[in-house]
Amino acid sequence: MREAPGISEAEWRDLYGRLERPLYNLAYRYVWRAQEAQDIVHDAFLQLWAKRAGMLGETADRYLWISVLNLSRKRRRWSRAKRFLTGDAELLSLPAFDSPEMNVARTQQDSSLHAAIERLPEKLRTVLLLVEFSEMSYEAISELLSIPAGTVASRRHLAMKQLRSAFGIGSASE
Amino acid sequence: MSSPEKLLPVLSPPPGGWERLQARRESFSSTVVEWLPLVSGGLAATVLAAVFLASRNEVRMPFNAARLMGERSEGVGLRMLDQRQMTALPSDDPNVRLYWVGPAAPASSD
Repeated sequence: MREAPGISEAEWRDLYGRLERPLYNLAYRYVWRAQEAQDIVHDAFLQLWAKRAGMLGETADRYLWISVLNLSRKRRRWSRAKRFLTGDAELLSLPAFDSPEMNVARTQQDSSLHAAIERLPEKLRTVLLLVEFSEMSYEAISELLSIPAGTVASRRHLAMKQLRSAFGIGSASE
Repeated sequence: MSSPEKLLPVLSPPPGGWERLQARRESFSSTVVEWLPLVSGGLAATVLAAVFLASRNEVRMPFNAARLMGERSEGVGLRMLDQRQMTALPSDDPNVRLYWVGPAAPASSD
């Protein structure tokens, strides 16, 4: 028997409690600003709230991941366009560490990691971040991105290889 | 799923996220409630204005036509125009002449 559509406030809150952190981590690796990443997550949850009447609980997770992914990409494109138009080379050159936690992360290694992620092609970055943070199976990610599960695995492998190469780590451990 | 080695540290989002989200949701709802009557009113006013303008054009056309016909028929009480007739009507203002334009009366057989 199919679940009746509709998401209650309690379910919405549970979803936020469960997915806030992983969604935030995904968004953060696109925009590199803590507050902006949280705004993106909130935008996705507000969109879900607006559409809650016709939403199935089982599809809410998927909806949120796709929304955050799309919103993050949009925000990133917009920032790049702004940087291009204003000639502000520093706008996105390094993440804006705007919380104490970010200050801790201001290390050489994290800067390298940031630069390495920035250099990843979009397809590899998407797969890598979903595998890293969503805790979804390759099959679930393949459904989410409408690509074969094997492609998810190979893209993730390629992304890891490029990151390891950026860090000078051998790939034998994978 | 295999457990891939984690390269990326898991960061904590800024604190107070749930409260901020709730505040945004409430402000969004109240904004909609505040703007809804204004938007509806504006829409209704636009529709009314459009209807008024459309009907005003419809009224003005025969009026202008009658005025032109009246000016051209100075001194003539009755005139046949393309199967129509125009009859002078009484007017209280000597500067204003009123005419009724209607279908021509059938010609008498005499």
